[in-house]
Amino acid sequence: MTKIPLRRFTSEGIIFVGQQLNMISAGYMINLEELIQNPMLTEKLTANNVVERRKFINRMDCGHYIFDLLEAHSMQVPDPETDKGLWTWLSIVFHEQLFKSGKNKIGGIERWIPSTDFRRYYRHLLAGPYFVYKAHLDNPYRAMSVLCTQVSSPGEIVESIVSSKDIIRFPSIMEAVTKLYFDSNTGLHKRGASSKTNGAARRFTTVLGQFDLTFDFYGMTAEQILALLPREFDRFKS
Amino acid sequence: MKRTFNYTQRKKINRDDIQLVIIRTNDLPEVKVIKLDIVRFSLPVASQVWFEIETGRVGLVRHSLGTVGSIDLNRSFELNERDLGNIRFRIKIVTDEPGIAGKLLAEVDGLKTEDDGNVRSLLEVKPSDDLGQRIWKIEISESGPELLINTALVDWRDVGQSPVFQSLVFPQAVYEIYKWVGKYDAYTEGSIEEKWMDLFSTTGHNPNDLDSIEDFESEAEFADYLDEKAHEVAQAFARNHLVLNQFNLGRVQST
Repeated sequence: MTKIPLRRFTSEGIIFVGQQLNMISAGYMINLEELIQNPMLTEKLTANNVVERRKFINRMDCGHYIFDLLEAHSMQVPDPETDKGLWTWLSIVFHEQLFKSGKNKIGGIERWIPSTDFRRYYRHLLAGPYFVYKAHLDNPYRAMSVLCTQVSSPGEIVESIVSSKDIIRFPSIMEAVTKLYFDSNTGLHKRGASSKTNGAARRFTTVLGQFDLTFDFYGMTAEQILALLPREFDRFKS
Repeated sequence: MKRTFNYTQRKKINRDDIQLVIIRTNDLPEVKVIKLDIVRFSLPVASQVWFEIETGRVGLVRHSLGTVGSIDLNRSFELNERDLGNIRFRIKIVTDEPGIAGKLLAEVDGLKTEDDGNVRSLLEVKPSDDLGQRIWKIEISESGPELLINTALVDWRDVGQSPVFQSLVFPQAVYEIYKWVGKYDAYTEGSIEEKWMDLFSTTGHNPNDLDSIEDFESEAEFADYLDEKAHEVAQAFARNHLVLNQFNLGRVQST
């Protein structure tokens, strides 16, 4: 598989990519491939070819790969979390697997160029899995409920759960979410977990928000958190 | 009208009850809680006291500060230099009663160290069309020190907030303001002078420890002494806040 040097888009490059993505949304045929190593729009961070243009199995695979990549080059990328040019460049490198449903639908600019708004940064299709993976580096499988989906289609559970930074940070909460909504037999979400019905992921964040004022989740186990939940969640506990 | 629910009678610790400082040991940044005043809440002595450090988007670690009856403020906690510009602290007091797992008794969130964030909040930034070819200037007005920025600059507001500009200006501002504060013998409680003194104390250079002008044979001798001290404070400020790194990072991000 071919590898290329790690790069980031310059400020002008980010603006240009945004324009190109908007044109794709409007139905124009744009060749994003030409932007990847454009010296006028990007700057090289590594001399060697280090980025493998691979196909990600799911968000877990994506988060794992990108975390390892950035850790290995932390001298060149000292602060990846806020490096907008880097994430924009990575999304263009992996653009073929980021379009919605395989078609030329970009599905919102923040999926490609990270938002600086802390409530929406996780929507970036590559930075989102990276942040979750990084937060649970000691045991990424506890976050499987938000890492099991396809990179291009994070899904409703990711939208509900990951939008709360407090939920991502707390290991026990993340473990409780995975116990509730992830089916380890199928490797997918349990039926109904993504719905808007009682006990589904969206309700979990609401209920947890009420408990947050009363309990110290960091010091609790996943079982203790699950025991707090009202009966509407019972159908997902088994 | 907003309402606040607090069925469990959780206590709200004020930010004034706590003081945090960044210190350096072997050049590595560490955070230390130097004040935690919760006596008035009369919390159970066996309750656990936790100090949480949030970094970046998702980082979170926490450390025990002992129990309410035996708070340990002797420890300092290592930080990652990369995180210094994006870090928050929280203190939680949690019950130790069996059968009531994780019940919060008191909390304070969103704490910051007495750092450059306070320089930003203490130092009022104002536009000036009277600076000629100068970019900026520190001026001491009736309300305290002000950072004047030349309005002839394109986007003077953006310039004032850029890490590159701040890394160039803040150490010099600290130097000039320390010399201003150092001339006072007494301060009004809550005054701007006192707030700057508190900030300088976090650099290890409390203006209260300065010798008085009466201890010197001449005003010129005192001025030299104050100048030397102000340089030391500016150095400590720049070292504590990795100003050189902030400058380089700002340059990289702005290109």
